[in-house]
Amino acid sequence: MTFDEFSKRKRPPPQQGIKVREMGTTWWGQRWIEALEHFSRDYLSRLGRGRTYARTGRVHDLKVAPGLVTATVTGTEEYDVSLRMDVFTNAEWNMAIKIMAQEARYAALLLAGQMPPDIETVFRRCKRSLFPSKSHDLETDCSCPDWASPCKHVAAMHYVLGEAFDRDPFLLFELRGRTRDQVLAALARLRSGVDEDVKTPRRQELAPTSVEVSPEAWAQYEVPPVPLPALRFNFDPPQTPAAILRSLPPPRPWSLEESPADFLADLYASASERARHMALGVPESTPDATTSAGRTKPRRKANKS
Amino acid sequence: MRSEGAHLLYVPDPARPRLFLWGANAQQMPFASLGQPATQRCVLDTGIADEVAGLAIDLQVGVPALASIGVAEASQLPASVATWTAAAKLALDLVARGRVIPTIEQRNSHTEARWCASILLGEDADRFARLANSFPPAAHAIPASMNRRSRRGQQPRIARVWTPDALLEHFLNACADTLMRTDVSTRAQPRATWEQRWRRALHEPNAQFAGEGFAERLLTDDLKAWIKPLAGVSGEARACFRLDLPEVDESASHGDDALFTLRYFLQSARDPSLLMPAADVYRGGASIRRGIASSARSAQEHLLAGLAIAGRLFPPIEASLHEARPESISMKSAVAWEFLNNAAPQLIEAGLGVILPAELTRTGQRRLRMRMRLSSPSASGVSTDKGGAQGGLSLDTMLAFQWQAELAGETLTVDELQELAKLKAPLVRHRGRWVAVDSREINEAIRLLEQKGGTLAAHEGLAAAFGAAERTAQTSLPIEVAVEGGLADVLARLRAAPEASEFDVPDTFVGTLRPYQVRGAGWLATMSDLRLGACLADDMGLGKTVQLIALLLHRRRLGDTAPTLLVCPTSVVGNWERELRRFAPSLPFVRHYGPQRARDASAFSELQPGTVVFTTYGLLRRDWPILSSVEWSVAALDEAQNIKNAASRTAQAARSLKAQFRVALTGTPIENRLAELWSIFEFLNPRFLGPQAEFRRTFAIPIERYGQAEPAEKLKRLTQPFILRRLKSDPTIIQDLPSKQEMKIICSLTREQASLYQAALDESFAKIEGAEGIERRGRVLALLTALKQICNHPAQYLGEPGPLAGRSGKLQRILEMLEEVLAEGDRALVFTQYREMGERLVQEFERVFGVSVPFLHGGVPQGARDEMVRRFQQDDSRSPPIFVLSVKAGGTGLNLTAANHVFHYDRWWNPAVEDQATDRAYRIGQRRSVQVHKLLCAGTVEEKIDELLERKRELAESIVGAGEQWITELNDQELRDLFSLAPDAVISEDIGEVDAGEDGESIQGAQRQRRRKSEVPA
Repeated sequence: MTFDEFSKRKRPPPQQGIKVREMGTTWWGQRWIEALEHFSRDYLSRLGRGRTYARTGRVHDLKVAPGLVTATVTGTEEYDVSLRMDVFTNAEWNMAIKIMAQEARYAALLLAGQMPPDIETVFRRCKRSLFPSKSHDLETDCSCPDWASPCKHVAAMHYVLGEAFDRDPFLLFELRGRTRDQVLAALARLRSGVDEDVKTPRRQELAPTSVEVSPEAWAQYEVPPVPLPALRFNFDPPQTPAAILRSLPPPRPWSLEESPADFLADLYASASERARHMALGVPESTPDATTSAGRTKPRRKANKS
Repeated sequence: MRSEGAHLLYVPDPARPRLFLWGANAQQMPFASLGQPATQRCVLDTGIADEVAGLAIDLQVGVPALASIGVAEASQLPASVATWTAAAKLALDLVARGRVIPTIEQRNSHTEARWCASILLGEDADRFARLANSFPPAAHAIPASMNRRSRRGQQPRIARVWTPDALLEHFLNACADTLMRTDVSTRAQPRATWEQRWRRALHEPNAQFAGEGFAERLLTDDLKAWIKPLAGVSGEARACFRLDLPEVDESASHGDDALFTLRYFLQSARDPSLLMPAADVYRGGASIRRGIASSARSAQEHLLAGLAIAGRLFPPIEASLHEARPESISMKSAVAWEFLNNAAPQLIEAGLGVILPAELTRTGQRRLRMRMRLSSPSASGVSTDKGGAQGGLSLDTMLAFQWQAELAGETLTVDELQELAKLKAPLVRHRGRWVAVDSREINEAIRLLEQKGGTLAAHEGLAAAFGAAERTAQTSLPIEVAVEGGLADVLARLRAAPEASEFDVPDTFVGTLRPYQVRGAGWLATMSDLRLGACLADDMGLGKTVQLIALLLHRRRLGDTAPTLLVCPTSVVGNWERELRRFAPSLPFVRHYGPQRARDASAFSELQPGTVVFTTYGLLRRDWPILSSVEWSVAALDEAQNIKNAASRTAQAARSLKAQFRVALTGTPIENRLAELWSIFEFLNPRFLGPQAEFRRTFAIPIERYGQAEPAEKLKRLTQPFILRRLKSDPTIIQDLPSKQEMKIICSLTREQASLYQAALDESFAKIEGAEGIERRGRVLALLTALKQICNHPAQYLGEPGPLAGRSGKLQRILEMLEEVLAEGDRALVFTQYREMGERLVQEFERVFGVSVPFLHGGVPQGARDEMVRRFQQDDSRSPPIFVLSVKAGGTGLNLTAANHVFHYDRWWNPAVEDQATDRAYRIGQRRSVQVHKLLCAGTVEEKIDELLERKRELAESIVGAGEQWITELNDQELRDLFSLAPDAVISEDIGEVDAGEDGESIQGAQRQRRRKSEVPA
């Protein structure tokens, strides 16, 4: 360690720092990071340090607004970092949305939190690119004294941003000037072809969790407002355990080869068995309990087949 | 048990979610023993929150206990308790079906991995909503802010409480989390991935997952976002997929090129029948007008989000999303089959709607099914009864069956099946119609056809014919049973039997049977001819006894000479003998009880032809080796609920009896008491209902615990042919019934009663014989009173508080009869002359039936009397079902028409007084037939006075009208005759043991009784 470096010892990463674990786990996050790496071949060492900064949580106060991302990076000092990108024009957006409206899958995937894999072709048809394609698409600035562009602070923010995009692909849209809701509303309007009420559907209002009961109702302490319903019950396990999880894609940070459903399947299966046992309460001490237990297995196989 | 003043709450305490039971009767709840004393702040019926003491019950033990409470039992419990039993069942249902998802929660400084319930649209959401809507205030009386206490001096305010929805959701989540975990902890592995740590925190008692670092916080967000589509109670509408069959085009050959259509709809959550085609959804507007969605855009987004999920599960749907407004897809039959068989269940799991053509579902018409052609193997299979009856079906014979494969109403040969299999397409056009034939199903059908058929034991064959084919058939294909040949005749006779009225009452029957009794006796005769065990379960008072007597005479008429065994409770033996003497004087009878009873089977071979042997359940249990070595003509169990516990020695002994015809009489509605039903059937028709454990699993638990209609209907189909139950309320029965029916109920003395009786008699008689005038009259009346008290209950005579159980034949009998009254939902008045007896009756009725029993006697002030009458008359399930009255205080004036049973526990010997008391119920306003039961003890002064009055009806009016005075005028010999105890007055060795069955409590009672005997003053 040289004296110079010692004297300028870095500050510790702040509490609120964003520690990046894995960046670019989605293809769109990956695309974002690749763009940076593509434009910065000359400064590869800075990218490496930027990545370390991002991992150790030196980036904080990240804000995404149309055309502008700002953050603070704690290194030797606190530096203000910003990134500017072009906001698409209304005409460009309208065209992109018109293209997306031609296939329901765009809206379906966006509603399910996924970025359509061919989103780039949509914007390319509007002569634009959602991701930065040329180095001047990204205009960065940092208050540090480093003359290089990007400096490690900019790179660190870029990586953090990559991870943010992983989680919320709509941030990319927001950076380009449209919120998720604006995009979805516009798609809905085009789909119905009617310019009717397409304003934001009210977020499902949180149901109240408490209620005031009138004194007259309290007097009917043990009287149900309507008779207790005769409910139908069923204790049959699903054909495959953890079936409920199989309709979901794995969660974003998932790193295992087996799906979450397979990973948790035995927990589901044994709990299902326990619950079924409690519900149907076939006592273990009955004389033919052993034979019926012996019979269970082949029967379950028969169900599967 | 009916009880008020107990309340059950769920306490949504994240640290320890639990149930809280409180109130005056909390301890009486069936699961109270699981609780730990605790206090809880909850809102009282005043609307004010306060701290109350009660019992805290952990979910771990509380949920299975609540879920095991049957629907009928729950309906008798306070509504808050019943509500949470249903919630517990719902929780088990969700976990068993895997409708739970892992989630993550921030708690204080750390993060926890938790499970929660997933209540998606469709049936789950519907059940959730219906249950939450029925919450009584007591069930969600949890103050919204748990810890706030009203400041001192502040006026207490009506408290805000948790909504039923929020509390129920919290409960289901807590149950999911409790049930998904094991109680085993393992050591943390170093360098585990987050997935492994997460899994461990989901599986083990410690839910703590992660605490530090921003990345972990992001992980939390990611997991929350991940499960969001499945979490909680969600949504107003969902995507729904309907598979439509291709139009049948006659010109096409096998239709391989015909296209099935899967159409997309938006389905309303509130009303699943409300479907809107996707095209209308895209067009907008209409969904709001039709109330499916709150806005056109949300309607579209519900549909599209559903399409995205469905696309992941069924790729052809995903492909359709390249269109701007996808409305449907067309597919070939192989793909349609894939959807039908694999994708559809997964879409349903994911909370989407699916509508399939009914005829192609597994049980539908156009699927392969097997027809089981069931017939008797030969003419000899339907055997001829040794007793000379006509052909019958012994449950031991074997029946032959043949398989037939059937598709869309047509029979297929093996060759045809193989042709179908060659097509390789599971959905094919067969003779102009679409049918679904899976190759596995075809192979299974071929396998069965190649076996040709087989044999079934008759009990299995009958069960199959009545709808339980899958129990014996060893195949997964749906089965239809067709009965042929002699067996078909048997079944036809069986079905027609209850209405057949051509029964010719034997001339040897003395008396007249009512029309429905003739039908009943005829039904028994048919069952006896068919050699199928029969259960006569007519309502109390419809005359089961005379119907059975008519049957015995019928068999005797056919030349059957073997003896009949009649097993009944000790308390009714006297009644039986009296009825038999009266209606069938030609039938000899012997008693198999008391020290003089037969000690080996040879005694029964020397009986006169057709002798009826009476015994009790206690002696059946003790002497079964002797009784089961006799070939009986008829083995009859009266009050057959005595064998309700199939594992008891009594029930085993009953099953060991050998008889040509088995019959059970019971007045309790056995179709609602399934353990009892099984046990009685196992006696009547062994193995017909299958092994007990299987019966519990497939019928008893689903019906009793969960009130499920399907198994109940199936069980009814199975058992109905063997049970004849007529209700007093049946219009066809009512016209045969007088509006008032009087019956004498002859009870037996216990040994204790008999020895007290004898001792009292001996002691007083010496004094009476020497006395004259007033003194003599006084002594006679005192003795009469003493003997009546002894007949009532030894405790009344001895002036001691108890114990009461097992010591009085009369009390035993009235308890048995009241049990039937209560089981039928009727109400009864019980009159006694003695306040001390009334108090003891109240005490015992309350103990045995768990209901509160009012007692109206001279000491009750007017206001309280009015209130008692008002409550009893109220048309409310909570009204007391039994009302005890002293004849003097309650015998006149009152209007108690809510009762249709009147019991006279002891006798006034004055018809006018008794009738007047009876008229409390039998008067204007009474719409039902009133049954009057007058209890008296066999072989005692009670029976003798009764007989005397019967013989001299005219006397009854003139002399006896004055009450009991005439007795004091009798001379010594007349008194002796009247008062003395008949030698056969006591039925059994030891009534306490005999009648208590194997109930430990009553055996103790018997021991107490034995101990007490030495204390009786000599």
